[in-house]
Amino acid sequence: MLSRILSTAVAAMLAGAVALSAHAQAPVAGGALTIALPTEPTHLNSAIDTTQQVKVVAGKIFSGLVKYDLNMNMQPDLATSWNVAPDGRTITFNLRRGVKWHDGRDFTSADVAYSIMKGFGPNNGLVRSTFSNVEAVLTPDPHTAVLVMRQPAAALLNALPVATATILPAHIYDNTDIRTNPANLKPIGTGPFRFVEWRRGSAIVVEKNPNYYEPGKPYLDRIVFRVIPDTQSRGAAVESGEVDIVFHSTAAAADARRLGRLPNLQLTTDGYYFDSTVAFMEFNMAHPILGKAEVRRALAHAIDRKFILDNIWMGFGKVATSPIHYGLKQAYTDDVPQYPFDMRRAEQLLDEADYKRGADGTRFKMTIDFVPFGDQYAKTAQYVRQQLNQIGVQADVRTSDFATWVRRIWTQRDWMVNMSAITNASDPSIGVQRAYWSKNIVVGTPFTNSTHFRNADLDRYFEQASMVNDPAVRRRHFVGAQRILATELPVIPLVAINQFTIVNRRVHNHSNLADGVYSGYADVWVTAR
Amino acid sequence: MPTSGSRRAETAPGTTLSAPALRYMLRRLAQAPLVLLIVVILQFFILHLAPGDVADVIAGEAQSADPQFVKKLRADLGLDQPMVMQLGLHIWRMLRLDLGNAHSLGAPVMELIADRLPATLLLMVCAITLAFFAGAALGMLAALRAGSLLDMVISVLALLFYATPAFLLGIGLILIFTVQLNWLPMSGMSAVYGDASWWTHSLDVARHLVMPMVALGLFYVAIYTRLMRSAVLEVIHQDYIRTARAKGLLPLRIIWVHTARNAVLPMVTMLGLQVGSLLGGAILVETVFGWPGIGRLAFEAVFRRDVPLVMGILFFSSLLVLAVSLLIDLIYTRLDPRIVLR
Repeated sequence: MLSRILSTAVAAMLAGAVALSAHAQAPVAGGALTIALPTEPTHLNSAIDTTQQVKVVAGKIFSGLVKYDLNMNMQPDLATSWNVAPDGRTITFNLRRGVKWHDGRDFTSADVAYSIMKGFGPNNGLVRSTFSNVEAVLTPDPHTAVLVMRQPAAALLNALPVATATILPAHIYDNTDIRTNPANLKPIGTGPFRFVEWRRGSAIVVEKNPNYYEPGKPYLDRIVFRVIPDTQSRGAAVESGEVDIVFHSTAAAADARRLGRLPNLQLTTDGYYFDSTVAFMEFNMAHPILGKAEVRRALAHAIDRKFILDNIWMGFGKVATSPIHYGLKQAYTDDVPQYPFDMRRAEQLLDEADYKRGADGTRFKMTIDFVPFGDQYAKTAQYVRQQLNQIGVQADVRTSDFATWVRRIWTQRDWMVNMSAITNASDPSIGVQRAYWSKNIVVGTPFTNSTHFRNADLDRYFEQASMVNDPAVRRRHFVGAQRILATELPVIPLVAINQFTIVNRRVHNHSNLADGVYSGYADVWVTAR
Repeated sequence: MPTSGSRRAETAPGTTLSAPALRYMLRRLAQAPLVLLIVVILQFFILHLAPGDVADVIAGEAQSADPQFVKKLRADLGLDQPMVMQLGLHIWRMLRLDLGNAHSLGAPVMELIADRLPATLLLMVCAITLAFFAGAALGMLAALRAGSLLDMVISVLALLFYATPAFLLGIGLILIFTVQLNWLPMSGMSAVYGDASWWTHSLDVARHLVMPMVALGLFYVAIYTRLMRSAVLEVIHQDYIRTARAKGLLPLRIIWVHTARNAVLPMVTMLGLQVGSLLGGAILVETVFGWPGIGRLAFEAVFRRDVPLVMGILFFSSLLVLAVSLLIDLIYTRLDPRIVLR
């Protein structure tokens, strides 16, 4: 006992000493950083793509209008100040002076106007609906951009990080096809690092931008993004020091805690605000049995979400009761109907719904699909299959690759139950509404309303929340929406996922912003090996 | 059965091909385009058996929620055309040596393949060279000492190499030589960026090559060891070896000239047969070691339903297999003049 107290005390002192020394250390300029990429990007234009591998590289090369600290407070980036009119119909950004593109041209309000009206505005799948509310961007002078809104878009100010609202150079992109512009492969930005080379299949290299607008920054001379497609190899690479950062949970979750305890490494879940994701089990509303809310509620009781969190997500997250991630504090509530794990209750509710066990003990049959990302969704499907078999629901798991899965869920619609997740982004109006809003039922288009759930009250809550600026009113609407979703249960929320980063301890300031590893890394510095 | 005495009867080794052999080669070359065409058509239809297309993948990855966008994408990529039209266009392009653009990567297929092929060829050639020579040496040793402890050790090792999947072996090598010992880099093909001398660069690539080469090669070391062992055992009981011994030839000469040369024939056959499977093994090894080769490119292309890219890669790999089998035929006649190409 005493030894445990002692060792705890020593550990606490050590931790304190480390923290103190970390604070006492002044940033050192120079050195290189290596980041492991799980997949090679197809290009480097984050205005038209929302994949992690594009965002993490492009975030270093480009800049956004603002940055966000870990509490989502806006901080100046290309915009030094901003102002929202009381009616929410105009938003004015005052732009930084003297900023140069990597090719030497001046950055002006024309670049902002291009990016919003023709760049990420219409082309970024995640925020397109939010920015479709912008009617025009006025540019009274080179250092002022005024957004004129058709209607207020409350989520807009939460949707401006560099890797989503990427400001592109108008002089290179305007009047070209944004998808095939050669600059997508050799990007020119205003960010802290400029593009050097892309070795197909191996690595992308960026180097310090000597004309960056924050004097003395960035500290790093170079960042190398190395493509390491194998999960186990990525873990070994960060363990051996061959790479400094493995991000977005792309090392094996089962191995992550051990890696995080190694003397040279640390583990953090900070810096994924824009990736807030809830894993869920969703139902096809067209199915004659699963389309009934009482059946879905019964099935919910048969699933031990704590088990899934601890054994499949290895504790990286929280048990979810809402399709909104608990990290989105402006909207999240747990004051909704709950479905505690209780197999007997599940059976009782199925009996009451008149799906009694047949002579062979079976109530009905179903097929479970899952999104083929990582191995968690496959494991969840297997776990749920076992649970359901115990209550007389005979379930089979079906495996598909990404393209097949997308086809099945959104085009062919020949599915019953699906294990999946979508990112909430930074605001439910951006990331949650799309999956449940009846006006977003679009057959053939991925990541629209997949269940075909329709509820007029829910539509109204989401629509109003997206249009008012008052945080208290917005919250009220989101709470109303969450109550409907938890009662009707078109999806059973399983785990609010926390993504993790494994970082070498020689790297400093890597997760100080809400978009963590996707941010510009102007403040990141390394101590020599 | 011809004896070794008939060696110099048919052609003179080391000189040009005989007329029938030349005709044989020309015929093989003329058949190649037909074989390729059949391969291309089969590939095209097999690829289209899988549901989903590249537009699903691009829109899915972009989490795009716009039907117009998906429709435009399909139109831009020609995916809204009837399948026969798509195939026709593809063959027409291939005739002009134009492999088109990779849908998912937006770059010319030819360029992507040219970028990646050298890395895979380097890996394959090194791995198969290692396998051939190590296998031949081990097999020979085991056969000459058949039944001894050495023979048993070699046989057990061969069994072990044969039974271990390449990716497992790869991870094991990484854990030992990178994580524990820190001797070898574990991923990629080079770590030198910017200007470096030719020598520095080569040395760097060589260091990166060691583990992938071993991971890919050991399986084939096992195959060649077993093959060589049984071939040598068969040959050393032939009459002409006894004759050679009786003539009082040096044991080393008997092994080298009379035994090895004849025992190596089945190994060469195997070499030709295995180019395809070696390419398959390269996919796994390239993934584990982040080796920037064509195997990984093919793997990603299939998952992205990038038909032009997959077709392009398969075109090149078919070409490779055809070329190697032709080459093997040539090597045969050099190694064993009894074989006549007609």
